[in-house]
Amino acid sequence: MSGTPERDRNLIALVATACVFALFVVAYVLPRTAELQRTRDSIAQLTKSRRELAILVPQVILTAINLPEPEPNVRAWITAQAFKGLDQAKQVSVNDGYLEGKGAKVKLRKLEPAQAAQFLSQLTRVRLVVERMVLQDADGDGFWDLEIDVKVPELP
Amino acid sequence: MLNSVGIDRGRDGDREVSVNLLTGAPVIGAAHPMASKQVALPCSGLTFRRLFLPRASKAVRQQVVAEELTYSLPFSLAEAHYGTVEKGEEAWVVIASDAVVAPIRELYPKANLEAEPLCYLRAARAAGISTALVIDLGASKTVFCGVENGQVGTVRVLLRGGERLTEEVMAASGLSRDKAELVKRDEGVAHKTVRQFYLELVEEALLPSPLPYARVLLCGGGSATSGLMKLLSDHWGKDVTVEPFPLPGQLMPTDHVVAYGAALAGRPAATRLNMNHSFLQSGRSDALRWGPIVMTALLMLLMALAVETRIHGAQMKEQELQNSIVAAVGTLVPQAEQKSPDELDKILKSRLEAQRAASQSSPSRLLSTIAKGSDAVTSKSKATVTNLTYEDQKLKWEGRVSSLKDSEDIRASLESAMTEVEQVRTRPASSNSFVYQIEGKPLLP
Repeated sequence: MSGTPERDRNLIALVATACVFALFVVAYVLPRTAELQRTRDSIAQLTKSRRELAILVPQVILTAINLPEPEPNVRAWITAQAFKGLDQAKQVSVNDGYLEGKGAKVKLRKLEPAQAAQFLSQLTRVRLVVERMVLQDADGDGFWDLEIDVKVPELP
Repeated sequence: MLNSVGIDRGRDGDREVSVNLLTGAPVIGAAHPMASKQVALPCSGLTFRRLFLPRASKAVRQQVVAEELTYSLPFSLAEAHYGTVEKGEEAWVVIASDAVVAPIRELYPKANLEAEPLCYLRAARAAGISTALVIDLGASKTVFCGVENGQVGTVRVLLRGGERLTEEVMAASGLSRDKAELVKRDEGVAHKTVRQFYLELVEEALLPSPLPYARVLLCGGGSATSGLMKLLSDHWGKDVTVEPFPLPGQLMPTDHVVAYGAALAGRPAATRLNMNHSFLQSGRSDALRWGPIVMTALLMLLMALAVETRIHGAQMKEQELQNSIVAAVGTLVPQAEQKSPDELDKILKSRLEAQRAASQSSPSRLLSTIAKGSDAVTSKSKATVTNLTYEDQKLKWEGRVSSLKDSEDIRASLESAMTEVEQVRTRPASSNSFVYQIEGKPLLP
């Protein structure tokens, strides 16, 4: 190199300093800045999610079904609880194995409207949903035949 | 103890004197251990300037000195060494061209450079003399150096010395060099040529008259000339005392004044020149500049601190948000902390949908809808319901009405209990009646 040894030393020191700074930027600042950006993006995403969840959570709480499941199974519970006050003759059938105890198919004949209402009212005491129901007074005599399929809802 | 060594480069070889850094008598020769070495630059190769400096920072004063020298020197300042002794607003500057310094630097690359006048000054101060005229009668030159109030005053350099005197004696007496040298030493100022030579030197020095110094100190080889002190005393009168330069120990005024004065420069608080090349003196130093390196290091430190602080703050906020989300949904979703917000959102939406579907198909919802719908039917005379079917979350009403208008009224009334209500079918039946079929979905709670 040309110039005095001191000048060469200064040049080398400046170049070395510049290299160290460049290395610092490439090896430290850029990755850490990327990490900072990733965290900021995560914060933005979390903020958005929290806003959505703040709307969703009350709705989930409000629509929650806080009723007990029929015990020991649906068929047994209906037999024990919902058939109270109904003549044995009107209980046509209850399917035992429907949904492995998590549901029941019930057929009732010649029910007075009040009895039908009472039966359905009993079902509201436990956690059940109606899959299918047919309530008909085909001959218009004021007595109703009821076919109803119920089951315990599966909630995630 | 550490020693400072002073070197006087004479015509017949270097003379060295060592002094202890703190105290003690000087020693002839280079004593060890050596702390520093000072080489005296001869007056004949030096230029002197006295400058007035502003009351400013050291850098500004250095700049002023450099500017003044740039315009006043007969050679380029870039090719010179110089040093300053500052006192108040005044600076005494000694300049030497690189041609003078280079051979000395080659011999003593690490030695400090000093000027002969400052060596006289330090030696005089060491002897307790603050004002005197020093006359150094050397072989090739004669120096008149005024020491005034502890500072270097006037400096006169005449390029005539003992060698020239020998030549003049040779010419005047027709003697050989050796014999002329013997005549010079033996007869001294008794020889006319010798007497005349010294008186001419004093005249050529253009010293003020009367002489403003009470003491004249003689040194150098010529100071041993017989009768010289009396000659000079007679010349300046009784108010002036002419004497040999007082030196401690075994030092001789004929040989060791300059070397002793140079050695004294190594002592703490001694007046010294710090003579360096103009590149170093003017602040345009090419020495390693730490400023940019330190600033870069500081910048890197600040950048790292800023980045780490921001990352830490962002991570804290991220953690806070995650905790708040887990706290909000923790009662609804088991192990919520192990799930991402998207998963939680998906789970809750799925659950909400299932709960809504369950609510829509619940016996209570169905019962409530049937009760409301029955009111709509029974409000019409001769309207009946014969069949109610609930399947695929749709409740279908079937019955008889007396008119199509009643059928439409019932459909309209059912909208208060169901959504998506529509007349599926209406057909005439026997005995002036119509069969209607209306279906819809029970309202959500």
